[in-house]
Amino acid sequence: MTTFETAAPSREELRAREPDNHGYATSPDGLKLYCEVYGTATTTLVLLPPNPISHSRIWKAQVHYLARQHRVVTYDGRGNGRSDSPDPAGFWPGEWYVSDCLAVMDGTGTDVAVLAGICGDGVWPSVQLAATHPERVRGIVALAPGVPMLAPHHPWKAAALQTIDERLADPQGWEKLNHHYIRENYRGFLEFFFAEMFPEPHSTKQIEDAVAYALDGPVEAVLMEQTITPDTREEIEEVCRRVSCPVLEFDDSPPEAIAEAIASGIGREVDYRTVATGGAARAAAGIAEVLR
Amino acid sequence: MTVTTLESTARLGDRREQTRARYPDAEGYVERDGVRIFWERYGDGEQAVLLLPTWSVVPSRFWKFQIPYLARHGRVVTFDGRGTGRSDRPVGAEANSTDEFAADALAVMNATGTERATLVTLSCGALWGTILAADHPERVDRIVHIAPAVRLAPGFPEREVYAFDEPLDTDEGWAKYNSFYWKRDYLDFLEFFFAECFTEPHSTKPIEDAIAWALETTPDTLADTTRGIGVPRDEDFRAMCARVRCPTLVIHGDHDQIRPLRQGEALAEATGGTLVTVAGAGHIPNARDPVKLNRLIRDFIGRPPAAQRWTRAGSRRRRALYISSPIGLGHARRDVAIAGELRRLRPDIEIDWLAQHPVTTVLEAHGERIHPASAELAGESPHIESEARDHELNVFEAFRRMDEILVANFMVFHDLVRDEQYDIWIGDEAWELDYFLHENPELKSAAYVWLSDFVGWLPMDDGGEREAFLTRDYNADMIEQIARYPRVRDRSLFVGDPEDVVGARFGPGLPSIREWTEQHFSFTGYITGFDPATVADREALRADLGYAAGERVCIATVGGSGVGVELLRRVIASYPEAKRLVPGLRMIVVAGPRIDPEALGAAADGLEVRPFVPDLYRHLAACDLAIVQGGLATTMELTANRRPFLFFPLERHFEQNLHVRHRLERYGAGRPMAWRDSPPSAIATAIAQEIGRDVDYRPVCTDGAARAAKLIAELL
Repeated sequence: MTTFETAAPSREELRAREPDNHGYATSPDGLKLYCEVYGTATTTLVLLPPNPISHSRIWKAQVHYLARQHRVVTYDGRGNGRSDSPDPAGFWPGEWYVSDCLAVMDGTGTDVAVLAGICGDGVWPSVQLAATHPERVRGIVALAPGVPMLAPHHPWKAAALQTIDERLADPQGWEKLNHHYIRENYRGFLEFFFAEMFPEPHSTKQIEDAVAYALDGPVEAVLMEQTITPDTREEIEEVCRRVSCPVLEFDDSPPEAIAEAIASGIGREVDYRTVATGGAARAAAGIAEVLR
Repeated sequence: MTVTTLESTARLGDRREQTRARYPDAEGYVERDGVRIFWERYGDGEQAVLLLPTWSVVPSRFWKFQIPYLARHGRVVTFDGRGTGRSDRPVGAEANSTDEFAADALAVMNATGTERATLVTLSCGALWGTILAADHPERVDRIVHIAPAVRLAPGFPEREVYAFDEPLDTDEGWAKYNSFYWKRDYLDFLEFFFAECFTEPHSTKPIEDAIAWALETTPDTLADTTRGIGVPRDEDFRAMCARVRCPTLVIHGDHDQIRPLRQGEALAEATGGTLVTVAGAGHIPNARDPVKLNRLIRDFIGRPPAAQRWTRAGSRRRRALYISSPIGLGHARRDVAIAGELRRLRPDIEIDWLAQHPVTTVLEAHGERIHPASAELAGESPHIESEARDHELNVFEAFRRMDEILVANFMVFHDLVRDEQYDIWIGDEAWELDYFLHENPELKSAAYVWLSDFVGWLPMDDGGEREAFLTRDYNADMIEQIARYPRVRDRSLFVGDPEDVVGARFGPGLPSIREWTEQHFSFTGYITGFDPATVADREALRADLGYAAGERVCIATVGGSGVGVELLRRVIASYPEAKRLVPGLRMIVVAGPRIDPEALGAAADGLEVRPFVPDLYRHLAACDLAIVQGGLATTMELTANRRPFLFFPLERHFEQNLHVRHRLERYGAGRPMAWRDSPPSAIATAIAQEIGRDVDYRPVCTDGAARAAKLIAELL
């Protein structure tokens, strides 16, 4: 994928559907989290944001369809969109993802929901929530699932992480996943990064949107060092095993080990599916299937 | 509805049970208070479906379109209701009450080890289905009611006029629904009743089936089961409906003339269920719209989660699904040739085959990919063979009696293309595909090409008025389908030239077949499926096959089917006389894989009986005379190779006697022989006259496969 120069839209596009309700939830540490609620059906679907690199608009292709039959809650995670940002001087503990999602569910009056998330920022907190609050999670839709330590990183990402704090003369490719480069050339990093996220040909609009959403937040939030709890593979697997609700997965990205790992971690008694996909419409249809 | 034409069917028609698409894996009887109930179990698995009996006018066979499909996905249990099929016929109303039917159902579940099941009912089956669901909620997962006969809403007023158990002074209309009339003219009642059941046009076959089944029981028995439905119960039906807790689906046609749609609506309301209205449908939609009904039932039961792979549109290879009819090997060879030409035009195309024996043997020999779903197909060739006797095959009737197999095989196709994406479906006389796509046009999700080498069902003279009526009805159905849904077939390919199409009409008041076909088809020219260059040097070929120069070789073959042993016997019987007329005559009789050579009798000097000849087409190209049946592929192969031949069309086989015959006349090829006028001596005389004769056949084109492939490739 050749990167291209992205242009930020001068104003937000007209939406396919406006929220029926919007407002702020408050996180346990006092940050305001911007939430939107679409539809009034009894079954709620919470679409977790991949923050701070993006925000709730990343789900724009799903909201209209899903809200025709379900109540849909989206929110901007801390560090992007219309939500507050944490103090960039500190660490970013992984628990924030779980507690922020719970704060949004409480704030929007959502007792129980199906959770849908993308990658590690969305899937792992969904798994943790389902394990610790089974009464509040009816199901999980995992897109390109990421759960810490269950599968190795792509080798190129693993290599990039080795030099993430080093100052590189002219970083190329995944070397751009580098704190110095990101701080000094955030857009350049984003254009590279989202070109990697969208390997499908003809993805210009999706890349442009994603870069624009990232630029809605401060680069400092992206640069915060994130910590993972629990921090051993055994404990993470133990959390996965406690999930008893249905899980639907969408993943067509190698290594398939990620999907296999989450499957083995979650265990046999779970209603487990894998759907290889790109395509937002397909994802939306798959989500609707779990909700049925 | 021309009921009079059908009358002869019930009396004269073939009462042998037609080939089923699937036979039970277990069957048996369960006995309650001395009454034996016959059950069948098909398939197995966690999801179980109990298809309940309906009014005892028909046995459990009325579920024949549902059983094969549902049994592919789980356990299916059926049983014959009291008074019908192989179950006992207890006397009196009390012994046939709705409670007895419900108790029978429970006993069958116990006998078959069916802990829980989804119940499916038709008409008054809703009565015992509801009892079971209300009283034994732990045994019932879900319930589907088709055209429920429930008195939650008024019935049709014309049915309320006449008493059932009193002599009437009329037997018009619903007055026929009367126990005294049944004793006088049961068949007339059945013809009336089932015509009322099947209000959809072109319903001849389901009506015929139903009447034949109904004739398996007696008016007295049926009257007892009818009285049994009226035996009063303590609990009000509506109150019982309210006790049903399981999910309920009600399916009802709005052209139902037996039970009005409002009764289905009322049942859905009383049970809190969902109503699906089938607009245009009569009382037995499971027989008339089997594909839609099967899908509704299956969707309602729910599919267990399964891993899937969905490829982005832009990442897909071009893929074709080729469905090749197993009736006659000629299809397989021409389809392989077309596939080869298609690959030349579209080298990136991936072709999967949905096919069964014997087509698969040809495909395997050519290294073609046979889709694993092919293993699920119900056998068509064995059915056709089972319909033949001696030198006779009423292929039209055999086709009609294949309706269950066609539904089963369409459902295999349906599941396959639901889960896998193809750019194009190519159906070479894939009758199930063409018919059910037109009946369910919303299922078309790829380009679709239809191929055929004949157009039009034609009656044979000895089929009488009945066959003339039925073939016209089948033709009209097809013409209406194509006129209404021209988008279903993206291309219709006729394997031949316009002049190969017969000049007859589709039937009284219907168009000329030739004109209609020219309007609706493209023409590929004939497709032999072999390369003429491989058999062009006849002298070298003869030397290679061990035929001496000047030796006169006659080959008799009936292809790969078991039909034809009588022809081979007669040819063998003609040999002594033929040898007298043709000194030194060498005769090779090819028995083929399905006929025991021993059964054909001892060989004489100069007469060889061979079980199997590899590369038979080379022998046919090298011989001095061939004796064959009237199938298109073999006769046209001989025509292309310019060999003299005698052909014996199977009796009552309209395609061989009319369509193939017409084509061969155009080519000036072969000498037709009528089976009943051809004793061994006549065969011997014909051998002597024809052997080694120079022929002036019209040449057969050699680019048919390429022309067909080009027309297909334009859609890719």
